[in-house]
Amino acid sequence: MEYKDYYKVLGVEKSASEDEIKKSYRKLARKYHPDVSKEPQAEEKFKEVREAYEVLKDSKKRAAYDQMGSYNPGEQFSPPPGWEYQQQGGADFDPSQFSDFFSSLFGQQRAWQGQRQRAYAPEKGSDQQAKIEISLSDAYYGTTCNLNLQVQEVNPETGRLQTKTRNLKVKIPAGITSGQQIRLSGQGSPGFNNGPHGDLYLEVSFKADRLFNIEGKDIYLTLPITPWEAALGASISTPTLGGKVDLKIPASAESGQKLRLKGRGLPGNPPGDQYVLLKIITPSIKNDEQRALYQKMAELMPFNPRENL
Amino acid sequence: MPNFDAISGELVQADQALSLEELAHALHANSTLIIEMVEFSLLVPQGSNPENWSFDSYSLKRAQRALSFKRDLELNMQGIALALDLLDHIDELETQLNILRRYAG
Repeated sequence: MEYKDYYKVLGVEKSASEDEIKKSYRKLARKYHPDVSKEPQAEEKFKEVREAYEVLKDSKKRAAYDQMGSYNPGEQFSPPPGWEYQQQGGADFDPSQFSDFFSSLFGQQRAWQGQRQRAYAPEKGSDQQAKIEISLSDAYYGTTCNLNLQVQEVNPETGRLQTKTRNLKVKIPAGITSGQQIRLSGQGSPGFNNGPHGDLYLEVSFKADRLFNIEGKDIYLTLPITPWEAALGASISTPTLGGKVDLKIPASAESGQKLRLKGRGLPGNPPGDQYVLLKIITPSIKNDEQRALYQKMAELMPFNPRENL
Repeated sequence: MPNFDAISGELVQADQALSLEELAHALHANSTLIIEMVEFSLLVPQGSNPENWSFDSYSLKRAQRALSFKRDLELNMQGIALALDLLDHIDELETQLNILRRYAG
């Protein structure tokens, strides 16, 4: 695994005081918090920052980290022989939130605690979280996704945490919406003392679609139409998630007018609707005959769209 | 890749919503913290008392964010409630903005 320079991550000197470390952490945590940040790779950066702070804010962990001496950033690293770090109490350690580097140094805490717990009653394993991005079409029809999960497990021989990849094939039901979570019972971390496995919560979000926008279960489509279709009314073949349907455009339709295709959004009870926003496109003039046609319209159709200005 | 059957989960909603204990377990948090979140109207469960509260996906997501704001940004409950409401509002506005951008584009 790669060595991590926690001082560099927080942008502080090795001699930095606790206050300086805290101040730098607060600034960076706000900047990269994945729920508020628009920075690229905010989530990865945020995890690094939090991990660095987790070590440097704690005088014991910081001292242990400092004792290892320095490595070059990214240099391959394994804990020094005889490395042992154990801390009384403090169960607040979720291995999925930390790097291998951190887990190899400080993760023994959880493993060690696990052993203590084994002396007691069976306990359900930790629940885990994962995210998955699917297409709108997959949400409409339902799909099966392959997940590769990085899970950290206690190595029974060394007592240290190690990362393993787990493959899971998961059914995504039709009609799921962005932000919904699927609970996969028993797919979380192993339990203690024959306790059941924890659960895995899978949060679904949607990839940007080429045509549609989505709001809850409703979908939106901008439909370009010609001025004569708008003026005369027309029946227009219109894409929906379930395939094309004929949409009746009323006569005297306006740009920006919103038409509803009931029940053509994501399935459910009730299903969502599709909203079609009409957008009148004016054709450019290609020849004299076309120019004459526009001029004829100007003569025959006196019309002032600006009378209310 | 090994070949095995796809597993089905449950959507965290309606009758598959989470109890107080399940939500606390999912968040690796204490139930008293969840109760505090409800007291600040940061979460609004179905059900009249903690024994029969149920929390949907939206609550789970909100509680995850709330916990992170508390732990990582050191916000207090009132600050968290404000941040969550503003984030919901931003989500709605961004959705509308994206629809209008697509229309204008």
